[in-house]
Amino acid sequence: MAHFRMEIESLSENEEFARVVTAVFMSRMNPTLEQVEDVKTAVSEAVTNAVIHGYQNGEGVIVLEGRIQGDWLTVTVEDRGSGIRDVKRAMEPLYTTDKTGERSGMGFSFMEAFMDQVQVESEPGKGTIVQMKKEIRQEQDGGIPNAASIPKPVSIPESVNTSKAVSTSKAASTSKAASTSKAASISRSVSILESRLVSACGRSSRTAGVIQSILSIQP
Amino acid sequence: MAQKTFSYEACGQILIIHLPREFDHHNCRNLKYETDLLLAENYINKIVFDFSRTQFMDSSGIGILLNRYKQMKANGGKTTLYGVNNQVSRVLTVGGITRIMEHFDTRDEAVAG
Repeated sequence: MAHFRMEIESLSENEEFARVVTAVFMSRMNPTLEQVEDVKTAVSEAVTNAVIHGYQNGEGVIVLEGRIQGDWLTVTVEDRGSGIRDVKRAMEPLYTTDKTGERSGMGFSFMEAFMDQVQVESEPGKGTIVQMKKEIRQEQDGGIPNAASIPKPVSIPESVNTSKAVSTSKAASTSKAASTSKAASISRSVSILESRLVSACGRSSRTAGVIQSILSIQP
Repeated sequence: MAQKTFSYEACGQILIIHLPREFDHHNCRNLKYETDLLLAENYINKIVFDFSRTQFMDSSGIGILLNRYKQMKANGGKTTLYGVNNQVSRVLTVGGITRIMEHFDTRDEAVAG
């Protein structure tokens, strides 16, 4: 089992850094390029949430952790910031507490679309832990490759209403809320032929060998 | 590392926004401010997003695209995009953008479309 844990400053510059670190860590699993991109996207969403919402663009520490167990990659993004009062609400597509009008409210939806499992624990005033898992299965020769799926789009009406629904909570005291979601249930509508082509392109672009020769990571 | 963010090009009533290599929250922070200025100073009825340099995007970019789309739509204008790679295409699909904005392969097609 491989594992890393690091603390990074809550800065928007570190959104890319977190993506790259995770990509390098998971490269030993021989993922396809698409799988790496999917994980990078999910990590980017979680770290961005910590920067913008966890610490309100202020100072703070974000903990990024990666774990590989068999075919499963687990990435955890943790902050000790403001926390989420209503996790279920926060994870609704298009819901955002942002007031600038520039945030889509799709962060959690993206994490669920690109990872196989997303679990969120949060306590207002204490912080938030986002744990995401993805299965990186090896492609069988001649068999059906790990589905190069196009995740189901977030349903979005023609006239997008970005009015902010401020989260209201009855509980004055802090309470832990956890919500899990299995993105594997999202429908995959890519044909077998198309998925083979995409996987083939991904494999030829894999950078695992190059990256591992540059950095040595503790197993 | 120093990141070049957005560069803009105005051709008549068309504004072309050249998006950066990493189209994420960090690089998006100034886009609204800069495009608002350009839109206020010029009569623009089409925005073209150039993704040809973009290697990565996340949902931060979706918010940006949606806002410009709404702005253009309110004035009877149009929004198009071109040059997306596989990762960007997947993100645009999940974000619902592919259903409302037309995607072209080349700049000329996107400008004309």
